[in-house]
Amino acid sequence: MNTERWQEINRIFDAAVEIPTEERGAFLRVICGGDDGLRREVEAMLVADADAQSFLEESPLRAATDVPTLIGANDAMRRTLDVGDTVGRYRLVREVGRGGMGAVYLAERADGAFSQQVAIKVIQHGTPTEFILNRFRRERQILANLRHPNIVRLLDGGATRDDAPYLVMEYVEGQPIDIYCVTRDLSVRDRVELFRKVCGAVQFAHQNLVVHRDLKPSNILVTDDGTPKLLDFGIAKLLDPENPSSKSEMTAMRAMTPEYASPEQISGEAITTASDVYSLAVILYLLLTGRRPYRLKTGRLEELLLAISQGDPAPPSSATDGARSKILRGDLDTVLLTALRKEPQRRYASVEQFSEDLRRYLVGLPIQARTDTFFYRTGKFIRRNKIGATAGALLTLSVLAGTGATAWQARVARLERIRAEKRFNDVRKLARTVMFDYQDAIAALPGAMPARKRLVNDSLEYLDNLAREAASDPDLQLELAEAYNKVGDIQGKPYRFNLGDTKGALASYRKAKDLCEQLAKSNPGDAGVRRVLSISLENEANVLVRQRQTTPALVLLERARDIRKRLLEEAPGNTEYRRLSASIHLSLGDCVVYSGPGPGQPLDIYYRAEEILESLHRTLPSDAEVTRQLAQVYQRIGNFRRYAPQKDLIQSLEFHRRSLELREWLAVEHPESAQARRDVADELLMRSYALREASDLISAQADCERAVTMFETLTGADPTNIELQHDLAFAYAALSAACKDRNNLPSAIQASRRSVLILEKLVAADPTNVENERDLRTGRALLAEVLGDTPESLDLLRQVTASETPEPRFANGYQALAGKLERFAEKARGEERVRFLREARANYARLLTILEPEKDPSKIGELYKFAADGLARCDAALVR
Amino acid sequence: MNPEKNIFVPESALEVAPDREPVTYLLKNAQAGDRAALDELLPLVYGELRRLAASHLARERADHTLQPTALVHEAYLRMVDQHSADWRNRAHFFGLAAEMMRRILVNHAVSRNAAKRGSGETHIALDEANSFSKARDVNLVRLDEALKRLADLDPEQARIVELRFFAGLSVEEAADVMEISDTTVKRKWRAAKAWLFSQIV
Repeated sequence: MNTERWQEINRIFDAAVEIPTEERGAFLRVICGGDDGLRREVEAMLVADADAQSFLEESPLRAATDVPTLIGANDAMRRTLDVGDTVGRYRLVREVGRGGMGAVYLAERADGAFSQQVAIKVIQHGTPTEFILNRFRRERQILANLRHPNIVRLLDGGATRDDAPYLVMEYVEGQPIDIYCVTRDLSVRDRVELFRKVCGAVQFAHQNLVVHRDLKPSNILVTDDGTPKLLDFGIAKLLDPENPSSKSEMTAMRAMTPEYASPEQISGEAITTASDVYSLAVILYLLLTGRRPYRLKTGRLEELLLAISQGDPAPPSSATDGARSKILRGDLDTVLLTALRKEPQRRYASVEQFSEDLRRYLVGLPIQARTDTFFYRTGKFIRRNKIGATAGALLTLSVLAGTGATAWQARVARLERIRAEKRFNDVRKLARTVMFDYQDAIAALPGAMPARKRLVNDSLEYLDNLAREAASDPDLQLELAEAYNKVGDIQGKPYRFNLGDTKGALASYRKAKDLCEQLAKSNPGDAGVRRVLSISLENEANVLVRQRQTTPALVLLERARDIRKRLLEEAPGNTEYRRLSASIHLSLGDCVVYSGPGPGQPLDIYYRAEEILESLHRTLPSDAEVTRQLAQVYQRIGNFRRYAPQKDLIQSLEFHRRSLELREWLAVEHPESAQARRDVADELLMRSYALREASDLISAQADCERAVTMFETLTGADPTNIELQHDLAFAYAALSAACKDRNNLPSAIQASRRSVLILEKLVAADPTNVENERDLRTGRALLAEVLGDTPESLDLLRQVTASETPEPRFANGYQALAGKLERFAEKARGEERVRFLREARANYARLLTILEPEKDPSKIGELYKFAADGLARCDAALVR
Repeated sequence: MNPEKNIFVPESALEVAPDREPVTYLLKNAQAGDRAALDELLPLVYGELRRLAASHLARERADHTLQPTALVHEAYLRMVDQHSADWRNRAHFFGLAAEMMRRILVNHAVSRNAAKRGSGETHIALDEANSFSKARDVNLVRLDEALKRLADLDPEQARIVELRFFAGLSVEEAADVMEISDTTVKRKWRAAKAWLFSQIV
């Protein structure tokens, strides 16, 4: 069984349980058609459903009363270790610490070979999982490699008789470094010298590719003779150059101690040796001032985290007073503030440099840290430019980091580069998420336009930057092409919520197309490239169609259709390709319709789209996009069937009914989607035209009124959505026409005025939008018509027909204007009458001019006669 | 122990103990899609749930019942820092816990079955004493297998079963955790139950 099948079973089952048991048999026979397997599956579930009322409703724990098997035989059997027990070669002397899963003991050699005290850490609770064992092995590995006088040593390790793993370590008796400094009342100088020993140990760990990540006073014990010992490399991360993608990359930092954590640890970014530099600086700050770098009011964790990631640390000299403050002012302030910088790359490049500056301070040499440098400005720049610049800057830094480095630094540099690439990929992933997932998630929401607009602007800037860098990366280029397509959709994808930025949309789609064409040159067979190319071609064409540039659009669409045809041939049955193939037929149909009478057969093209979509819809019944497109193609067929020569109003209404049914279903299934509600209202309008044609005037007006209400609500929630404004204008126009049909002229005038008002605003906002400009003319003509013979209507018609040369598309306008002028002339006297007659004559003449070239009596005979008669009448009247 | 003289107590390897801070961080990162954080989190949750289940069962008398939902809640309170966690963490945690409870209980059933086979028994129902009806007699091992098949067909549906049955969450709680509607949970739960029942009973 596959997913689609299972979805179908579920759908039928869900429906069947809602109807009475005795009717289910008949229901299943009808709904499953001849598919007996399907019917049997659902029947088996219905039988089970009746018996399964209490099934799985009772907790399985309730029955699990036998403790030993639940907790595992090993666990129950395992006894805790006691003082006096031996572990390996050691005898436990006393417990010195205990955690939730085990304990630490002081122990000594049991074989008496020699006297040695050790610390033994044992895991005692439960059977250790593979995870715990791995962690133990890791710690063993790390400690075994680190042999340094200031780092606690691992001596041994193994498993107890009960399989509990344990570690044997050097036993250290001492005080945490901060307490040590206070109890011994060390001078600033002594403290810095002691601290430099700690730096030496950390530096040694770094050279062995280990970052400690949890440096804090309690992890640095100082023995009686003044030797610091670094403990707890348990959460240390191995900077293994052979294994850059080591899984431990992001994990250990969460076990950090917030007070000593670096900003990058807080924000979850990559942790490097610079993080240890930061933690060390916090410790030194504490040793020298008795405080940590951030003054907190509440002491709550959130406040601390905020301070670490955003606050400015107070100079150490200001954290104390008197003589101490004086000592700290100057070099020590600078050294500490340098090591405490937010951006890792602005700190000391290594612990060694940090320590070196402290040495210079001790011996009176000038320190090397500078207050603010080029890097500071870089940091500012990065903060200002966010994503794009961050990705770019990280790349730059990784390149900088690779130049002029020592052997150790070269290793680090390599790691930094790997990390920078990882960051780059992270940023890219983020961008992709934002562009695709977030956009899709908010696309249909009401009121999301301002957010989407910002997203578009930010994304475009980022994408254009990235496009320059991505020249050599085909994957990235393809991703960019997809992103441009997305941006174009938001700017102006027809019939979808968009910003009404037609020019911007065309530019974005063309950028996507160009990127794909480039890619296709080097790899013409790549299906992904061809797919994205065909999408950008279709998108560009659809914008052009709406702007009535059907000739270039047709070229693009035919190319897209051929690409998709081949894709589908290469992978027959591929759902995505089938969907795309249906979509291109829909677009082609629209294009042919808009290009006016010609050789194309839009109905055949729509039927082809319908065929594909119906079959897709059967396989993916709950797929919103397929359903939406199927409804769209039904609507188109419904529209087309209103016109001769294939006029069939019964068919037209039937297809509109199907379209409305699907769209209403979508709106119910996706209550959050404003787009789905828009589509319902749109269909109501389209159907109203067919209803008017079929003389069902009452229903037509009711549909229009419902649509207007819906669009008013939608635009109210989303005032910057241009597609919705256009829809609203269209709805008022349709309402006006429906009212006019019923001779309700006051309502028709009111609706018409609303429509014209909205369109005027749209045209003012974007004078280059051809569609809006055309619709405004149509709207004015309609208003003139419902106004009757008033001076205002005359002016409106003059506006509608205003153009240098006569244009065929204004034929009806000339006709209406000429007739109206003649009627005005009849009521006028003297010079006024002559003016009206001359103007009427001029309009009849314009009409004749445009009809002249195609004097086909079957088509325009009547209109031509009308114009010729009118002209003659005017001439006769003027002679009088 | 003398507080002044801090004896070396390296605790790192003991961090699998329910340590509130790390779990909260891990949770947040796991939620953000950090696979490594999830890998680290799961054994922690698993260990804690197992420990709680064992200690509860050890205390409970036979006439008491133990609700998995109580276990999951308790584990959550113990492991997650309530101050820095939000409801999303909670939902995510419950999701993980359900998965872990499933593992614990299925492993338990497997070992019990193994023990019974060892002693010559062939019937492998979880608990015969509680088998009032066919429906209650759930074979966890077979349920687990059927659930895996269900997850291939509809992961969401399998998840609902996990949350409802293994973690004992109510319809509303499960809907919260999954961020889907109550109605969807109810609908899918009913179909899943029927199908699973037809598969394993």
